[in-house]
Amino acid sequence: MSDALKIAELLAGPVTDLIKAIVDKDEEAAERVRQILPEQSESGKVAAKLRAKVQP
Amino acid sequence: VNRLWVLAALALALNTGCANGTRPEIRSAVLHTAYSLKLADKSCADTADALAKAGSGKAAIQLAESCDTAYTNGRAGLIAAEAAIDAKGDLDAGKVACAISKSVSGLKELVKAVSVYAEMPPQILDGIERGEWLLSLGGDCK
Repeated sequence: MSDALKIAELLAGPVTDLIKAIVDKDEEAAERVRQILPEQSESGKVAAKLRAKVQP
Repeated sequence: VNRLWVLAALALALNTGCANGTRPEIRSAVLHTAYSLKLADKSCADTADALAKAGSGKAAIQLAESCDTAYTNGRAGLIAAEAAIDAKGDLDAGKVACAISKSVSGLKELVKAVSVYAEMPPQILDGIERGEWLLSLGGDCK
């Protein structure tokens, strides 16, 4: 099983419950998307790290 | 016969509700799409790392950069969609659909890029489906 699949398996239950709790309360202006998705992506961090390695 | 008419009217009302999407349904779909984007981004970062360790540094950088761009675009659309959901007054599902279109494209680009190297978790595909359902709510995006 790939790492991504393992992460997905771990996330599946808690994420669904969390979303259900948020939706049930119909929270407004909570900026949940910003909490879920930080400005800096993981792939962006890796790209920066790899570019730094390549540059002399 | 009257009972049948009542049942038919009820079924029609329920069906219309599903087609338009209630605020909780739409919020749930936006949050699931956001989690899918997060998961796809993490999957991409891990894949790029693995590629670099295997000696394919150039391909790893290209992959990570394209995922980063897709993530940035997708995130912007989801933030706009959430703002449309939280706007005061009646929910404008069309506005949410317009905002989410960038996110669905970003998520699909990300999945396409990573799928060349790794298997994508089903949760990510579920997020795309939910995003596409939001798109189906329509709206004039001009």
